[in-house]
This record gives sequence, C-alpha cells and structure tokens, in this order.
Amino acid sequence: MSEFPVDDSIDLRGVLCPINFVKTKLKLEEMDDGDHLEVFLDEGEPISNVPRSVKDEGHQVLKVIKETDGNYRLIIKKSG
Amino acid sequence: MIADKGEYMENSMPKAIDLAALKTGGLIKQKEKDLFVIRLRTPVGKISADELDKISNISKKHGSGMLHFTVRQGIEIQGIKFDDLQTAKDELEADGIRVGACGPRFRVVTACPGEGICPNGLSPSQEVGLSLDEEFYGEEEGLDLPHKFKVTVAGCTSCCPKPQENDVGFHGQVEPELVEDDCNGCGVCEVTCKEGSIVMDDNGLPIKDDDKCIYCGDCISSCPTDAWVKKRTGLAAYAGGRWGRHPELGKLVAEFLTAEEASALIRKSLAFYKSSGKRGERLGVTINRIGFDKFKEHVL
Ligand code: SF4
Ligand code: SF4
Ligand code: SF4
Repeated sequence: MSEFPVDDSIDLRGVLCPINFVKTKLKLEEMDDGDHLEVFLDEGEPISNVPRSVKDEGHQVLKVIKETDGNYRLIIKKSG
Repeated sequence: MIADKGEYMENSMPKAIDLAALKTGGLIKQKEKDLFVIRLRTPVGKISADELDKISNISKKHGSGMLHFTVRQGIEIQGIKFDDLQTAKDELEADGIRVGACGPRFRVVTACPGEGICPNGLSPSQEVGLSLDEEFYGEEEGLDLPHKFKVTVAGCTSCCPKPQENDVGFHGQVEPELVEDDCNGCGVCEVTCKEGSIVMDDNGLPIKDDDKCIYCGDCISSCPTDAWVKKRTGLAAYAGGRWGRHPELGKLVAEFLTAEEASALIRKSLAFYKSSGKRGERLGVTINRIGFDKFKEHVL
C-alpha cells in the first residue's frame, strides 16, 4: 500500500500532544539510522505539531499522506 | 561576644535615606507602618541563579524573607524597615542588582523567552527587550511623563506578554513564501494554518490568501520539506494599549520593523506623549484625543 517500504509502524491516533511526539521519539531511538518509521496521527494539533518536532530533532519527514478517514500517515526517516 | 558600645552604635545607626532615590522609584510604601517594598529592575524577567541568591540573602537580612513576583516580571522584596532601606538598597547595588521603577516614567521592559527558547519564537524578544530597556530606562526622554509608559516584546503572534495591553508593544512576525519545487503536496500546511489562509489547488500546490495571513509562520515550521521559507521577518508594533480601570487594546501602528526601527518608534512615541499628553493620562488616551492618524504621522 505504500511507495515507501517501512521498517516499523506506530499508531498514535487518539494520543494527545506532546505524548504522541514523545512516543515517536522513543520509537525512533530504537531504530537504526536510515530506517523508515510510519506514524498514524490525528488531524488537528497532532499533524501540525509532530512533523515539526520530528524535523527539529534532525530526522527527515519523507511524506505525509492524508488517509480517507481524515487522519494522517507520516513516513519518517531516522537520521542521527 | 558582645561588641563594644561604640562599634555597636555605629553599626546600628540607620543610614539616612537618599530622598532623590525615593523619587526615582522602586521604593514603595507598604500598608503596614514603617515597612517598605523594594522593587527590582529585572528587564525581560531574566536573572541568574546567583543574582537570585543575592536577592534572597538581602530579603532574609533586611526584609520579611518573602519575595513577590509582579505581573510585569519584576521581583519585590517585602517588609523592609524604613531605617534599613538605604542600607538594603546600597547592598543590592553593590551586588549589581538594580532597583526598579514606579511612577510616571518609562517602566522596565518585559518580554517572553522568544526565539532560541520557545519553539514558536520568531524574534529574539529577550535581546530586543533588553536593548530597549538599556536605551530608554532611566533616560531623560523616559522620565517626567504624563503617566507610566509600558513596553513589552513578544516573540511571535501568540503574544504571550500581551503587547496590545502595553503603551507600546511588539511581536515577532514572518512572511512565508513558497518554493514550489520543494513542495510534495502533502497538505500539512493547509491543515496547520489556523487562519484558513492556505488552500490546496487542483495541482496539489498550496495557494496562500494574503488577506487572511497573520504572519504567524506555522506553515513554515510545520512543512516537512521546508518548502515554505521566510520571505521577511520583523516586529509588528502596537500603541495605546493599557489595562487598569478602563482597558483598551493597542492599535497596529506598523509591521516588519527592525529592532532599530522599533527603538525609533519608542523614541518618537515618548516625544509625542511628553509634548501632547495631559498629566495623568496614558498614551492611548492621548492618541484618542488627538487622533490615531496624527499619532502615526508623528511616529512613523
Ligand atoms: S509569544 Fe510566542 S515566542 Fe513568546 S512565549 Fe509566547 S509562543 Fe513563545
Ligand atoms: S503565516 Fe500563519 S496565517 Fe500566514 S499562511 Fe502561514 S500559517 Fe497561515
Ligand atoms: S506542508 Fe510543505 S510540502 Fe506539504 S503541501 Fe505545504 S508546502 Fe507543500
């Protein structure tokens, strides 16, 4: 279903800011450099905040895909 | 060990308070008989832990051991006896801690943490605030005003330190510009823009409605590919705001000012206020009486 092969996935729908970011960060810490993580996020605050925080931490946001139910799927490449 | 009488007498002799110091402010009568508050000058609400230790020691030595944090980021040492006032003030100043202001003058400048600390920061509000305080506090142009004159600097359009409630207030702002080639059409900026200024067009590119944009920069910080870039940054300026018995919000005077232009705006606003303001009225009242357009002519 994805043009981006992912190494891991985390579903953070229903998880509030900033817990969703902290969970994303902890997940990324377990992964290897260059790995791709898929994150499911709610619309609203989460999709406005998480990509920017991930970017601030030095990772790369490869793609944000809007899902049919109004949620978002974020593909992050772990960097550093 | 008991000191000999002469030494005891000498040490316990109250130092006469310098009446001129009382006039410049910062020494405030407390309700209780014979007790005073010393208000400190802590511009932009920032002090070092070492300074706080020194303040704390003076509070324990000369005051009630209590400190009060004012809504304008000041610190007040409470419960100082009139006879100890000058000694406490001298000791503070020897420690490099300055006494603040009250009364009809340019007040200590406040600011939020701003760029560098706050993830939303667009302008270095602390640096701008400190340099404005250095430039105008206690200087001739900021003394003997019709009433008090408050200035604050906010790092972004969220306006945490309330620039619109100050006589002159600033907030950081940024104008975004799209680098189309870097955009992957994800649509995050569209959902992030709280002003409804961004809509995705049929080609999957974000289109910005300039009339709705408030220059918050959320689109820039949320874009995963950095396709939104900063076209220009600066400070928006408001004038005539106040709280108190008859609150009124300041009106937008200018946008995208540099720090130097912000300082020039204050200098001209103080001159306008000094020459046109009636005793006891705040800048906003003067502006209402004389006209906002006239005020703008004076200061821009
Ligand atoms: S005004 Fe903006 S930069 Fe300053 S503290 Fe508030 S959100 Fe942060
Ligand atoms: S700067 Fe703020 S208001 Fe303007 S388009 Fe970007 S997100 Fe919207
Ligand atoms: S967030 Fe960035 S990449 Fe996504 S649509 Fe907006 S400008 Fe394009």
